[in-house]
Amino acid sequence: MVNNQFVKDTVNKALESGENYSDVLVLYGSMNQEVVNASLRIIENKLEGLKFPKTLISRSKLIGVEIMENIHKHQSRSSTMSPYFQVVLNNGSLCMSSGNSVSLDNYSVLNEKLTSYEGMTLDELKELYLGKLSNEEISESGNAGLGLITILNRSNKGAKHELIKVSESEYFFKLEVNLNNTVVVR
Amino acid sequence: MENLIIGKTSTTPQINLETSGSLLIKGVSTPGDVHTFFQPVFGWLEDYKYTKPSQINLVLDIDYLNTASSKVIVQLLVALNKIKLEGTSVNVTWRYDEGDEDMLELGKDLEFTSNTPIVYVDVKKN
Repeated sequence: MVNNQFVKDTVNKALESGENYSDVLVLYGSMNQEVVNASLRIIENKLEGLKFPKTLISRSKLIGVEIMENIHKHQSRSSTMSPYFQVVLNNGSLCMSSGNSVSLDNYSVLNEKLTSYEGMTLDELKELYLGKLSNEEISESGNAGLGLITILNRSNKGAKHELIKVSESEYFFKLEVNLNNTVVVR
Repeated sequence: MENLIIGKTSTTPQINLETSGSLLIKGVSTPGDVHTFFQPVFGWLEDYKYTKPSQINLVLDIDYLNTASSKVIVQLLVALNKIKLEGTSVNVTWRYDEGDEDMLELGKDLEFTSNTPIVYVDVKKN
């Protein structure tokens, strides 16, 4: 039983998005590391079957792992709204959509980071990524602080987000990442 | 001193650290607790450097990894750089699938960040 309107809307949008639509994967519910990796294998197998370039398959895995790990680490534990992760193909593009609830405290941090990162050029994002890769510590929970930067950087800023207030103490974070089926040499 | 061999799982890579100086990290690297998983690797390397090895050859053959693992690999490369300063010849090879520019770029990011020279070898996987 899917009781999260955001996931229903996301799946319906994919279904209505055109005749070239084909599904790859929809996950709904809690995620752990095994689910993350099994999902990435499914995506890889599907894209290999569709003869996607190797580099785009790797890009989808490097972005996908960060999206799903972010959900796993930051999903509000007290929320009744389950997270989701969806991957669909649409007109030759690969679209990853995700959603998870965040607490009020996490909302402020997330909003500040996204506003900052989305205002950067790709070169600035890359410089920030390299700086954090070498300088910042990995937290006790294994958070490297690089997930959102990696998603934006690797997708060539092909990511958009919404932070929707669902109650006084909770927001819902929706993310959509589009990867065109073209190889961009950076 | 003994070799350190850790078998791969669905979330962690194969680790082969041999006293001959042949080191291999191969597969997926998305451990739930990156500190705990890689701690034996750093421990082994710390002990190994006291044997004054003449040569270390590290092969990184990564399928994909999370950003926490990327940071750990940078730390590993920095540690190897320090061993190099003590007279050991250190060679690092990054194996990636032919045509996979994203994995090549990732290797170059790790090389730049760690300031450790890496040799890139494209191979036909599968």
